[in-house]
Amino acid sequence: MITFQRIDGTPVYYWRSSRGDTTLRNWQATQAFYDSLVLWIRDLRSLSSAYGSITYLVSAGFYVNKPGEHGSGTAMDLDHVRWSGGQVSSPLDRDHASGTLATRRRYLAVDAVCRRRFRYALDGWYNADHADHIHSDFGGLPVRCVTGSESDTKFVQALCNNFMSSGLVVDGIWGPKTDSAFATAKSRLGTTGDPHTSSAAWQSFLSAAARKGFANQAF
Amino acid sequence: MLDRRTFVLGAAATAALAGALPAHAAAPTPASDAAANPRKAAGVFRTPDGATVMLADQDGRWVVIDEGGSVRITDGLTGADLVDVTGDGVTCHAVGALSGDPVATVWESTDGVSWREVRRLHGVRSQFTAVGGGLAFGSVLKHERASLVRIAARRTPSGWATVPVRGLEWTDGLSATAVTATADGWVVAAVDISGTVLHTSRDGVTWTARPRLDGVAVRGLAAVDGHVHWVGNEMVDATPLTGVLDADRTRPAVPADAKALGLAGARSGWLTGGRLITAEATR
Repeated sequence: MITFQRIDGTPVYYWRSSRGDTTLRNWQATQAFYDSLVLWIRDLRSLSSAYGSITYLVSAGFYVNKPGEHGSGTAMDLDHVRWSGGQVSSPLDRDHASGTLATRRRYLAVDAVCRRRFRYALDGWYNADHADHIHSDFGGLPVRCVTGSESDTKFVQALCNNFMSSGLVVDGIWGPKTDSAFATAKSRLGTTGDPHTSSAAWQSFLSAAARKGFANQAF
Repeated sequence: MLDRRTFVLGAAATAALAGALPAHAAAPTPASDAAANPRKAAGVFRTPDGATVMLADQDGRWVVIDEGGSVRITDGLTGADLVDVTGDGVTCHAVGALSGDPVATVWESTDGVSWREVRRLHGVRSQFTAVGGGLAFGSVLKHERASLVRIAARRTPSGWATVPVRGLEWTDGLSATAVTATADGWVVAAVDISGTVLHTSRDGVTWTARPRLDGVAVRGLAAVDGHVHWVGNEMVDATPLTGVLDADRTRPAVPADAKALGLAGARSGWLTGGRLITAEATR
């Protein structure tokens, strides 16, 4: 386990006890997980470069002494992202359920970037326990779009609804309507290959979706 | 007895023995190497002979390690993904799941070294995550291993039987981290995004929420002298903490990087630098 205060130079704050607190905290994670966090934030910087640099992140925890990935030091709970251009994405404020489409799209863009590097990303659509943060962990690598995963399916359904007005029920069940909407999304985003079997194809899809989300553009 | 087969040998002697003896007999390993880096610790417990030891995964094998660093390789735990362990001075119980597609399972031992499976929940992806006072708590799991609904099993004269739980529905997305018997029932802990939620029950079926412990992940509970003690780590900096329910929390006299393993009676167990250390639960 290593201790860190920043991810690749970007400070990570804790707001659960005091919102706006900019005290640097001593987070812990495995070296391998931290290395993935570095790749993740570089993805995030690259895909959201129009917003400027990332000023800070806010997290609810990495290593936490409890069963599962947190207890192994291989998980992150993301609360908030702030860019130098003034933009924010705030899972802590339940941005996935915002009444503003641009806010939901930005949330989905951050969500997509998490899924590029972490097999399991549990977001506000997944269940009530993740309504105020995005959980990302190492479980079940490699990254792919798994139709049997409630998390992946709900993400795809929410994505299609918010960028293509697909009108899907976000129920986590991969049925023919979700399959059809996903095929349309893949085509519109120029994805080649099968995201269900190819990590590269899934990552390509997620990058394209994230670019659209940060730009607030339908596809 | 734990001590009877426990030795500390040099590396060369251990290597020579390892090839000649069956796995359970080749247990002695150098203290400095054996305890250097257990990958995962299920917890700390008191063996029937009174020793306080931790049950840890080391190189894919479950081993029992004492404070001196002596290691015993267990048997009967092949394929186990253990999460918690307890001992009442007579019998030891470990809980978790069978590896792979998880199946919640309880194991039992009378010496802490030789274990046997005593209950398995068939037909559902599940895992037990806390055991104590004759109760095992766990969850039915989603594909992503997130908790879908909380479950419990109770030790009866004829074995471990699943029991309903009421009053915990609002915490179905959480996994229990500790449970213990008290003078008038049980108390169970589960960790959410910002701290620990606690429930008490008189009958082990109907549960009532009690004041939460914010900012700390509780890993162990034990009733000692009429008080319920807890051990854990802060949510953010993972600072070691102990306390008594309805009283103040304190920094125990353990290294700052120590991770709480649980409570074995009046002693708390901590993992630091790959080693087990214990302290008085009240300190």
